[in-house]
Amino acid sequence: MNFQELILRLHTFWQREGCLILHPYDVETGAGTFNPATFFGVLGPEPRRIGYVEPSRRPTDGRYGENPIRLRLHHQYQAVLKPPPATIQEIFLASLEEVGLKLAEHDVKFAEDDWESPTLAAWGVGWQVWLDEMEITQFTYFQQMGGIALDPISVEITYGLERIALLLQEKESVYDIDWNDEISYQRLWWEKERQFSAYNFERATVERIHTIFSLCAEECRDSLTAGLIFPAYDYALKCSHLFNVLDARGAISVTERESFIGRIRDLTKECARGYLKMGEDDA
Amino acid sequence: MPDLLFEIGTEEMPALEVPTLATQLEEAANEVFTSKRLPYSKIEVRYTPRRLALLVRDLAADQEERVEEVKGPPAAIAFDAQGRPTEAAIGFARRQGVSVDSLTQIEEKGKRYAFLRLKIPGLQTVKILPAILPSLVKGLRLSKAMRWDASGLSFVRPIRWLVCLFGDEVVPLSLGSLRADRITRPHRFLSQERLTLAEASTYEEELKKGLVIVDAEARQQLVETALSEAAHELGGKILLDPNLLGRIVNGAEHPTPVLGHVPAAFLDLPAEVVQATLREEGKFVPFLLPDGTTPSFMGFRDGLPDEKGIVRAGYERVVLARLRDSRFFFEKDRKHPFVERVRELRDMTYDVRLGSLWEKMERVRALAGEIAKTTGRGSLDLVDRAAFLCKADLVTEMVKAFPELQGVAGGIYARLDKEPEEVAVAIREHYLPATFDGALPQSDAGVVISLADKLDTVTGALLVGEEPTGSRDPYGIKRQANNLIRLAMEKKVDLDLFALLDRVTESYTTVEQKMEMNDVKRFLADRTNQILKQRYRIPNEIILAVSAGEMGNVYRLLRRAQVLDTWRSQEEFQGLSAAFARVRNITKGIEETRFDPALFAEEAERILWREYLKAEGNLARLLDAGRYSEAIEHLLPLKGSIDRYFDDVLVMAKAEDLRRNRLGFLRSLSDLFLRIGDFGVIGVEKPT
Repeated sequence: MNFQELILRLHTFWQREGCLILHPYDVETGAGTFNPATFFGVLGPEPRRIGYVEPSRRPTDGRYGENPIRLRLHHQYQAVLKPPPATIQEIFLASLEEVGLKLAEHDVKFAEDDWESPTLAAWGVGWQVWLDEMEITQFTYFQQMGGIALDPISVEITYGLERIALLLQEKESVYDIDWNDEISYQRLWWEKERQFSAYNFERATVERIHTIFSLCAEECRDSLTAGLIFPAYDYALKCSHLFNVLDARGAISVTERESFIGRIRDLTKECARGYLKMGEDDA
Repeated sequence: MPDLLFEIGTEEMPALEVPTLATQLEEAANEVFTSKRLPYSKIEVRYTPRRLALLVRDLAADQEERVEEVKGPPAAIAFDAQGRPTEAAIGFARRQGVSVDSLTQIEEKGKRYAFLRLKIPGLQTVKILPAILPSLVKGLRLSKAMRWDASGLSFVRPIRWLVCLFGDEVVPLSLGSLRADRITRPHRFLSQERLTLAEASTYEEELKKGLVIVDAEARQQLVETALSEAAHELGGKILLDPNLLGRIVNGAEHPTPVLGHVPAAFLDLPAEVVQATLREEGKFVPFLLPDGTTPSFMGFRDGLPDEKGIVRAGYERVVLARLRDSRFFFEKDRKHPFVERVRELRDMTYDVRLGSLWEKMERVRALAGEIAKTTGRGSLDLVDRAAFLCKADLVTEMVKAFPELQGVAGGIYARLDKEPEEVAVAIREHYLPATFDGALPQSDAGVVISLADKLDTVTGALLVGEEPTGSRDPYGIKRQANNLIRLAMEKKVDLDLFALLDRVTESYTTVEQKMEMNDVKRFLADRTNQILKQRYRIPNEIILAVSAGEMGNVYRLLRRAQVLDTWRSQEEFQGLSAAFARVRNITKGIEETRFDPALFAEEAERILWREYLKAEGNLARLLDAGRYSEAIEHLLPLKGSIDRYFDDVLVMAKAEDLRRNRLGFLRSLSDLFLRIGDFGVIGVEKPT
C-alpha cells in the first residue's frame, strides 16, 4: 500500500467513526496537537470527532536525510474523539488492521507514556503504541490543555505515518517508501530534509530568529489584547516553531530554555482562556 | 467454602506500577476482610498490565456474629424492690430492640446497672462485598490519576470491565459506570473477544486457556529461563537490571522470547553504547560476550512464538535505526575535543541556588584535591584532571540521549582523546556506587572524586534547606549520603569528613544558606549511625558508645565500633567499662581539663595519674595507627586504679581547688577513653 493510499484509508476509517475530516494547518506545527482544530477543539463541553494529517516539523530530529526513520518533517495522522467511546482501543486496533497490518503476526504493546507539552500547558496519560517495538502511534487521554482541566476528556490518537508505511511496504528506510506508485518518498522529501537540516543546524541566523521570535510574541500579545484569539494563536505557533529552530541551532542554553518555554506557555494559556471566554460571550 | 474473585479489567497499566498496586490491594483486602469479620483462608493477588485480580480463598458465606454489650440505667431505677423491671428498663430494652426479659445486671465500681448482651448476627457476605470491594480500588495510591469518562472515577488507566464471582455466583456491584459480571477478556490478540468464567476458583486456568498468564512469578520464570538458555548458548552474560526485567514481565500478558542480532557494522561502537541503545525504553536485553562485544539481544513478544520471523525482523529494524542514531550522536560528540566541552558546563544549571554545573565541578575539584592531599590517595595531578573532566559528558549528545551513560560516555571520550587511563577510569567510576549495594570505584582517583562529588551534593542540598523529611527526599540526599559513607568505610578511607567540610566552607559562601555546616555534620552523623546499625549490625549500645567520640572519620568510627563489639562480651572489659562509667558520670558537664599534679593529696590519685600518663603515651601512637584493640589492652590496667581512686578519694572535696583539680584530671582521663568511645554505656543493658 502506498503512502497516499494509507492516508485515504485512514480518512475513510475515521469518517465512518463519525469524524469531521479536516486538513493540515498552514502555520508550522511541531505536532498534530498544535493544530487549532485539536488545541481549541478539546476545550469546552461540545462533543467532537475530527481526523486530519499534520506535517510535523521537528528541527532537532533532522538527520540530513541520512537516518532511515528520523526526520525533520514527518507526517502524523491525528484522530481526536471527545468524549472517547469505551471501545476506543479496539477501534484504534481495527484501524491498523484496516490499513493492512496483520496484528496477529506482530508484537503489539501499549507502553506507558505520559505525554506532556510544556509549551501548550498540556498533559495527558496514555501510551506509545509499539509494533515490534517500533513506536507507531501516540495514544493519549488529554487531561489538561492550555492550562485548563478538561471535561469531558478527549482522546488523541497520533499515527506516525512514515513508520506505518515502512512496516506495510516492508522497507528499511523511509526514503524507499512509495508515495504513490510512481513517485518515491526520496524524490519528494530527501533534498528538503538535507537542506533544512543544514539550515537548522548550521545556517539559521541566530540573532535574526531571536528578533522574529520577539516580534511574533508581541504580535500575539497585541492580538490577545484586542480579543482576537485565533490570530493570536497563529503567532504563538510561530513562536513555538522559531524556538525549535533556535534549539536545533544550539542557540538556547539550559537556563534560557525554561524562560522561552515559559513565554510560549503564557501565550497559549491566554489563547485557551480567551477561547473559552468567547464561548461564554456567545451564550 | 467457595473462593471470591474480583477482577478489574483495564487498558494497559504502567508495567512498573502494576506490582505496587497489587501489593496495596492485597494488604488493604486483608485489612478490610478481617475488620469486617469475614473469615477466609488466604488472600492472593494476580496481575498483568490489563488486570488486577483479588482472590479470597475459602471465604465464609456469612459474616461472623458480633456480641455487643450495652449498659443501661442504674439498677435502682431499672428495677423495683421486687426486682421487676420498671418503665425505665422497658424503655431501654425497647430502644435496643429486645424484650425486657433479656436484661441482666452488672456491677461496675460498686454500682449496679441494667445490662444487655446483644448478639448481632452477621450479614451475608454477598451483601457486604458491593460496599467494600469498590472502595478497595478507590483507596489505592496511584502514581498519577486520570479520568476518562463522565463517571468521574479516576485510576491509572481506564477501567473497562469488572468480574466479581463468589463461588459460581455473580456479586452485583458497580464501580464508576461499570457493573460486575462473569465476562472477562482473554489475550488481546490470541483468543476470542470474551471469556465467560463459570466460577472463581478456576480463574487462573481459564485465563491460561485465553493465553493470559495471570501469575507474575510464572511470567518472570518464563522470561528468566529463556534468557539463561540463550546466554548459555551464546556463551555470554545477560545484562539485566530489575527495571528492565519488570518492564518485560509486567508489560505483557504472555511474554515469548525472540532472539535478535546486532548488525556487524555497528560492533565497532563502544559496547556500552550498543547496550544502552538496546536497553532504551525497556525494550531489549543485551548479552555481553567474553570478547567484550554485544552482538545479540533478546526481546519479548506479547504473544506466541514468532514462527515466521516477522517480529524478529521488526526488532532488528528498530535496533538498526536506533544504532544509526547512536552513531550520529557519537560522531557528533567526537567532532570536538572532550576537554573543550567542559566550558559548556557554565551554561548548564545544576541548581538555581547552587549555580551552574561548572560551579559544581569546581567545588568537587576543590574537595577532591583536599581528599587526595589528606589521604594520599591518587596522584594530585591525575585527580585534578579527572575532577575537571568528570561532568563534561553531561553536555554530550550521547548522555542527552542515554542519561544512564553519564560517566561511562565521559570515560570513553577521555580515553579516545588520549587522556591518561587513570583519568578515564576515574571519570567513569565517580558515579559509583550507584545503589547501596552497587559496585564501588576501584581506582584511587575514582574513590576520591566519588567521595568529593557525593559530599558536595549532600552538603549543597542541605545548605539550601533541602533536608529530607519522612519519605520525601527529592534530591536523593539520603541515598547519596549512604553511598558516600559506605564507600569511605569499605574503601578504608582514613579521612575526617567534618574537618574536611570546615576546610571547604569557602566553596559555599556564595550560596544563600538556610542551614549551617553543623547541620550537615549532624545529618551525616545520623546516616552513619543508621549504616552501622543496618549494614554492619552494630548493637545500639556500641553505636551509642562510639558516637560519643569523634564522628567525622567514618572508617575509623566503624573500626572502633567493630573492635568494641568484639571486646564487650569479655569480663575484664566489662569491669573496665563499669569503672569508666563512674569517671564519665562524675565529669558530665565538666569542660575544664586542666589539672595540677602538685595538688594531688592522696596516694590513689598519684597512682591513677601515673597509669594515665603511661596509657596516654601508648594510646596516642596506637590510636593514630588505628590499632584499637591494642589500645584497649593498654586501658585495661586502669580498672584497678580507678576503683581504688573512687574508694579512697573524695572527688567533690569541700576545698574548691582540690575539687576542681580532681574533676579536671578525671575529665582528661575521660577524654582519653572517648577517643575510642564511651565505654560506660556498654553493658548497661545486658544482652538478653
